[in-house]
Amino acid sequence: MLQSATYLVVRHANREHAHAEIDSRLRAGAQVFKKLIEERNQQITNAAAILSRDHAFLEAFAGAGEDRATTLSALESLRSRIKAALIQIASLEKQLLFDTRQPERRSVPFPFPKLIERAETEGAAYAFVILDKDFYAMAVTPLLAPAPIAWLCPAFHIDDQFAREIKAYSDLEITFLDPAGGENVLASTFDGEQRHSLLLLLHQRPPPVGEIVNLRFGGEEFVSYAVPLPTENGRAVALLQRSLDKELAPYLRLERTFLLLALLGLLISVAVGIWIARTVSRPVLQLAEGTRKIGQGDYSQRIEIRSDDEIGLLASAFNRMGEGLAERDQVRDLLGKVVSPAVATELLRKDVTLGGEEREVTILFSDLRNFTSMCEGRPAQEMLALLNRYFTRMSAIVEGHGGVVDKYVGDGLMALFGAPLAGPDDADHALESALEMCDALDELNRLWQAQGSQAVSLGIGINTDSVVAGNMGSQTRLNYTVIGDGVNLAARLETLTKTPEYQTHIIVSSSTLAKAKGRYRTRPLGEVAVKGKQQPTEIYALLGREIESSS
Amino acid sequence: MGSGLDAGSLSVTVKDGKGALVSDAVVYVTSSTNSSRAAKQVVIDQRNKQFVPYVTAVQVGTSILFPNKDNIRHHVYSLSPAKRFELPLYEGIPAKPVLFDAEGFVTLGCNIHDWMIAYVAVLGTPYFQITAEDGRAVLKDLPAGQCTVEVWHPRLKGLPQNSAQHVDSVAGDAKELLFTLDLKPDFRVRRAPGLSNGGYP
Repeated sequence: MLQSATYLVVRHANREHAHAEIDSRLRAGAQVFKKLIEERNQQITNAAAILSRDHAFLEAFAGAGEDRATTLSALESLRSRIKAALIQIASLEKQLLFDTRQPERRSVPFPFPKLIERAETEGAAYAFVILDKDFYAMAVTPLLAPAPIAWLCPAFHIDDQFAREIKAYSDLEITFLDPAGGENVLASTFDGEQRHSLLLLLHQRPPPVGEIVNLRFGGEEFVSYAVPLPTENGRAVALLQRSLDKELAPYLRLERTFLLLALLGLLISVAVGIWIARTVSRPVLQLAEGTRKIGQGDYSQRIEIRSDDEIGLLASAFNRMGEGLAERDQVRDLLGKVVSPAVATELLRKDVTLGGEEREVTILFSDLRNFTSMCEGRPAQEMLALLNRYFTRMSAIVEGHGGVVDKYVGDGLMALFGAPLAGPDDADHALESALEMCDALDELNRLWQAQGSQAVSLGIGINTDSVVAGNMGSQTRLNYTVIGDGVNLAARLETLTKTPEYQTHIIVSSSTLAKAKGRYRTRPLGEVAVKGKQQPTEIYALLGREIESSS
Repeated sequence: MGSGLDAGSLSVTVKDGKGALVSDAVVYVTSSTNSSRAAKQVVIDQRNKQFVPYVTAVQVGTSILFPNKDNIRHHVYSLSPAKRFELPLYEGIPAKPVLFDAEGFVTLGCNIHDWMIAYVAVLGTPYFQITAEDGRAVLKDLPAGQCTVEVWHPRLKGLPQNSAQHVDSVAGDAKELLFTLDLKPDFRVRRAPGLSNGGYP
């Protein structure tokens, strides 16, 4: 597109320049032509002036009264001496005395009296004249004896030969025209068919004088410039022309070269385009498609690009990224199984570093009673299956309430509410979980009893406190967990459920109840001393939810 | 020259169309009375490649001698109808003078020096004068009675008759006449610069 636009613009500029150049060359040629014509006319006038002093001729002329034939033959001799087409002699009174063309013609008015008038004041004169449809340059100079006694007027034929001579100097096609005579061609460098078609063209459309026009004739176009010629009896013009085709030839050559270059440029850009498409665009599209699929979760995308350039690097980086993402996904999956999904997310989101932060967490400890006796006489595999089933159910409840299973210890379970993510209803969630866990155990017991097993019971301790939560362990092996006195208290409350007097499965500290927004049925169990605290902690047995409709 | 009793005189001033005073104009008076004979021989020199004088007036029948005062040769000729003659290249004084036996105005040239030119007015009357630089010519001792005054000049357009003035009597005080001539432009071959001294007369 750009290439062809450039080509057209340059072609246009080139042509415009060519035409301006051709026009100016034609004008320059016209100047040369004018100068040549003027010099030539000056020359013939000078030649005439030399003849005018020929004493022998002057004597012959003076004796014309007695012997006209001698005078005429002497005049003929002068004519051939300067190679004039004809010589006329006019009297001082502007009467024609002699005419070498028509020896009999005499005593008629000289046809160009104005020319003589000019010679009278200027000493000599010249002009173009049309005589019997022929074109001549005529010089007028006085015959001096030694004062003027007559006017010597040699005339030189402006014929095709003359036009060709001027062409040799000016490199112009020249046609002498007589517009008065119906664009009659007086002389021309053209001949044959071309001359004929020019004549036909000029009949239809006379050339404007002093203006450059393009004329097409004889199958060729010419830049043309008509120059008026000082003609005594008419308005003859010289039509100066140059072949446009010949003039344009070097420009057309330039244009062709440029066209070739433009096409070459186009070819190169197409080739480069294809190469770019192959080496850049296609891989980029592949990468884009791969990225889109990865965005949709398909980490199996691999891109086959084997090149050493940036695209190749990008492709292998992409592949590594895919692998990395797949690996991370795998890790996240596994992590979710080993730790709770919330912790896994937390671990994956942040840099895994040792150290923790203090937060308020509600900690829930649960433990099975009589589990050992239930397991008596059963194979370890079966026991593990039972335990897994139990944990699966309990974990689901904890996670269902936004809790995190921190760890399993034997048949015990430690869950966190408020770490790693704190929520406004952490305490409620813990209490709800505890109640639901008890309900769930009842269901499990019914199932197990139906299978002939002993029923088991559950003890749960819940406490809310500010503890340190974070990654604990070594640089290579760490756990997300919480530590602090609050944790120990929760564990202790769980142990306290074994106390027969309390007659409860769930013991909750007053701090948890204080945080809870829901209403629960509780029973105060008194106070327990807590290590590290002056005030003993009030503890309660959690009996169930307050039935809202009954209150 | 004529009888002193009836002698009259004329003072003629010649100007051109632009009012400039014209020298070298030949003023001549044709009288009804018999004209006396003037000098039989006149001289026109060739000096420093010029004819001297430029304009000479003679009565018809006068012989003119053309002495060559230069140390080169000259070829004096005239192609004028009034007197065609030729003195081919010569030095010194020609053996014979040239007789001007017909009225008319003769142009003299030198065949080898284009610029050399002189005029001879061959008149049918002895009463003539040539105007000086001041454009004046005074004609004395004119016969009494009617006369015709004409003026000729080398550059005169047309014939002298065209501007002729008739005078009834020249007796008494000198009569003042003014001629205004229609002259052609001065058209003479220029002597090429760089040659020996001298120019036009």
